[in-house]
Amino acid sequence: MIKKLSSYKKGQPLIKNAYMSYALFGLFLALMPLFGYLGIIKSSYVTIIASVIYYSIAALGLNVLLGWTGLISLGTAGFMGLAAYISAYITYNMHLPFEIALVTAVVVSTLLGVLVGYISLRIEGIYLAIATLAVAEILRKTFEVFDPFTGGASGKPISYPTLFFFYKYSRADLKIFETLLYLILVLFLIAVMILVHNLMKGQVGRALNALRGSEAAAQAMGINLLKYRLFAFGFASATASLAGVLYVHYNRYTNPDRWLLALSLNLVAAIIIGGVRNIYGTILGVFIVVATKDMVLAQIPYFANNPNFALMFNGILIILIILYYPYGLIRIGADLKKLVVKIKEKF
Amino acid sequence: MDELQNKTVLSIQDLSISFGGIKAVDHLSFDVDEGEIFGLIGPNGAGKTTVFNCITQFYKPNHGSIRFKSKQGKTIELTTHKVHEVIGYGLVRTFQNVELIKELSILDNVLIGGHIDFKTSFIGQAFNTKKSKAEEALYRQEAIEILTFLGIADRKDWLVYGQPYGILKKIELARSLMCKPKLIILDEPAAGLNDLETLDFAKVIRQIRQRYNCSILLVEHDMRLVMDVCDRICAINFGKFLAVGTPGQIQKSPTVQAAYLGTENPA
Amino acid sequence: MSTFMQLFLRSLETGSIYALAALGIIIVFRTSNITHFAQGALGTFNTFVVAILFTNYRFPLWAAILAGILSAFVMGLMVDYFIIRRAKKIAPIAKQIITLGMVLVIVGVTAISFGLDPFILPKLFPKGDVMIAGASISINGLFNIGFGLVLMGILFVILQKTKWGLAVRTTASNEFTARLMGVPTRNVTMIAWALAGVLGVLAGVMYAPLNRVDAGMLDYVQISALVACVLGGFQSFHGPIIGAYILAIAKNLMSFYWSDVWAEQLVLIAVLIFIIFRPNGIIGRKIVKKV
Repeated sequence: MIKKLSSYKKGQPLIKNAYMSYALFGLFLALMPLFGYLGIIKSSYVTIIASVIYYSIAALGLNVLLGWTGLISLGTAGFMGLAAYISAYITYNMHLPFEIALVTAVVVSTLLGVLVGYISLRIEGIYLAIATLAVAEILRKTFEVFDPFTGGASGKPISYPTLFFFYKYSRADLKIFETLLYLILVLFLIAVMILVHNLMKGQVGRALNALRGSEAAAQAMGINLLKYRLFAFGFASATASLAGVLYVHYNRYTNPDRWLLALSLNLVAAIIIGGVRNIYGTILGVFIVVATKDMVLAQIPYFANNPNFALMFNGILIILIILYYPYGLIRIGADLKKLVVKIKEKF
Repeated sequence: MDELQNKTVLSIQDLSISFGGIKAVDHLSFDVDEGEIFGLIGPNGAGKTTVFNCITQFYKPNHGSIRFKSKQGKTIELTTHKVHEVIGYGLVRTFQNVELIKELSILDNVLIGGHIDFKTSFIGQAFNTKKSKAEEALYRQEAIEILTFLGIADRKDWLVYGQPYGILKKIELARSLMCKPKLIILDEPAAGLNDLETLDFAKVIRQIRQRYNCSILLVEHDMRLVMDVCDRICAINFGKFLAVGTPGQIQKSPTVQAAYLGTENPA
Repeated sequence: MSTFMQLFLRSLETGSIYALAALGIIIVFRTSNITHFAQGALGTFNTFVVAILFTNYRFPLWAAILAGILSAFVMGLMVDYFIIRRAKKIAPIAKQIITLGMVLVIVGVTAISFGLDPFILPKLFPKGDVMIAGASISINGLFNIGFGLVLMGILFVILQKTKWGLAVRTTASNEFTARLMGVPTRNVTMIAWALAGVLGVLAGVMYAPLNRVDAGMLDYVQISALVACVLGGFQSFHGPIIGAYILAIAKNLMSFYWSDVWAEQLVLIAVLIFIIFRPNGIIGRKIVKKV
């Protein structure tokens, strides 16, 4: 009996100190441009990995909302887009440094998120999904029609921003800027990972777990449902905005088609597939949803011509994983190990 | 609002609530004293849990007052407060159908009970400041002490998922003790427990009163437990007051007997 | 006055479309407690079925539509049988996410099976206009309005007067008790999903001639239908329908009298502001949660 129960104990991580593992992971990611330069990986993979990084930043915040808090937002793409446009306008049209654009865009877009959250979360959890869907639609339409700000349907090309308040972009520094922005991406990803780690392992994380698991118990233990739900949604909006800012400055381009519902759904898919309430799981999920399409499927001629297979696969994976493997693919390693041990015991 | 007199910790007066025309609680009044183990009994559907939900503000009563002497020493009118504010005054509850978070460890579940005592801000926690770490360690220690007191500290790191019912009840109890309560409300603590576990529970309830110097208000169907452990009992039926008194008095009360057994001439 | 009347009639037509979609969503919500995010995607898929049969296989339009209805009905049954039933024990939020997964699957399958090129679907009554109070409306538009109202009327009679309607209403009010009382709740939810599918394809077929048949054709209808449920309230069957007509009228009036490009956004913002003051919608009432 005891033996059976002990299998429910939490698994031990590979590297004991979580911060150390994040630092090593960050170092590994930071080396990618070098690997690309040395020809160890295709240099086009660096761009793909960069996209995994900024989408992971948004997905980590969304996991706090979806995994820990048990709420759905369909507005991730909308908030990313809003922050992307605002920050692009500030650096490209107003010629202000990147850091000012970053802070302004994240603050404005997060405040909008908190407002929408406040309106809908007063009622019922599910209203958040519908309200964010509506807001995403409002934003999408606005990106299309508000030409002076967004460049309309044809999109908004920008150049690299001024970094660290003094380092202005010139054509000669193209490679440097590209690498610098990549490193900034990595830095922010690791920062968000640590932030999520710290918040979720302590009082805030327990409160979110509690209100997801039992509203009644959470309230009886003094957890203000609205406050914590709003915090989770605010956090998700903030990381989405951050991801949007990083996206637009890394890619130097945005148009309304980048911020459709499909992106929000794909990020939800990433979390479910990778692992709810799991930091590395989130990144694995984003890798599966974003990168495998470009790195693996694009190599197979049939799939390369039918990119919609990826959508279908993501959808099927969501449904199967929710029904049969609710903690996501990040658990596959541990479960396989258990299986091997079991088989060994038998023989 | 009148201050509560010396010994009273909870005073319910003229409490009424109805759902769609049906009166679940009907002009009910009773007091609970400090350090008292007080039982609320009644046949099925008598409105006991509804009374609990009114006290803890899960339901807003239509009428009546619920006054509570908080652990800060002030008299509080509970009906003017929100659900999540109640615990801050030292009033905590458990649930009839154990409400625990299955995906968390036992220790983490108990720590949820200490939620309101955490002082570190979101930002402090995000950066894992010294203060945040110290606070976390302090309450972790406290939670382990409570688990030791209840005899389940050895499994503190196990998930709640898959634990036997008796343990679940104890985890919920441990969680409610984290806030250093003045009054604990137990909703059918012995439901689903076997005889041995029930006996153990009676002992634990008495120990809790002694150790935490608090009052305990409980709803229970197991009459042996109620008669064994309670100092005073209030009996209700169809939301109405029947009688209040010591276990001996209640057992002899003709109105209570009539409600439980049914008579041809109801009193 | 006649411009206003014209706008009003046109709003009734789009309103009927939103209302059919919203009715599908609310029936699923009330019987399975799931917000059906895939209503629009399912409707789009089956509208493609209609368009393909009509264009590539030369079916008469009415036959293609009937086939589309059949396919929608069968898909609804399959969704319930293969997915929703297996999800009985999982958390409500996970069920919502399943419908989001369904959106991805259906959008993917639609594109794979029907390609990315849009189709044109003609009106059921291609020609002819009628004058009503100084405003002209196409016979097809009038038919859509009438058909929508009659269909919803019939569904309401079924809901209120028949044994099956009673089964739906008891399942909606408390599934567990309904099952104990011998209501075949499994069949009720299955039929509800199938019915939602049919309402979805009807909305699609009615909407297609105003636009065209492509992957995103019902996106805005889906959003409007969900917002109509919020506006009307999730607690009744008729609230969302009222909400749908209000949305359509508000949007048309705003785009004519105010701004064509901002009307859509302004209507949605107006609804968000509205629920600050009436969180449970026009017909909503607050539910007391049992603990």
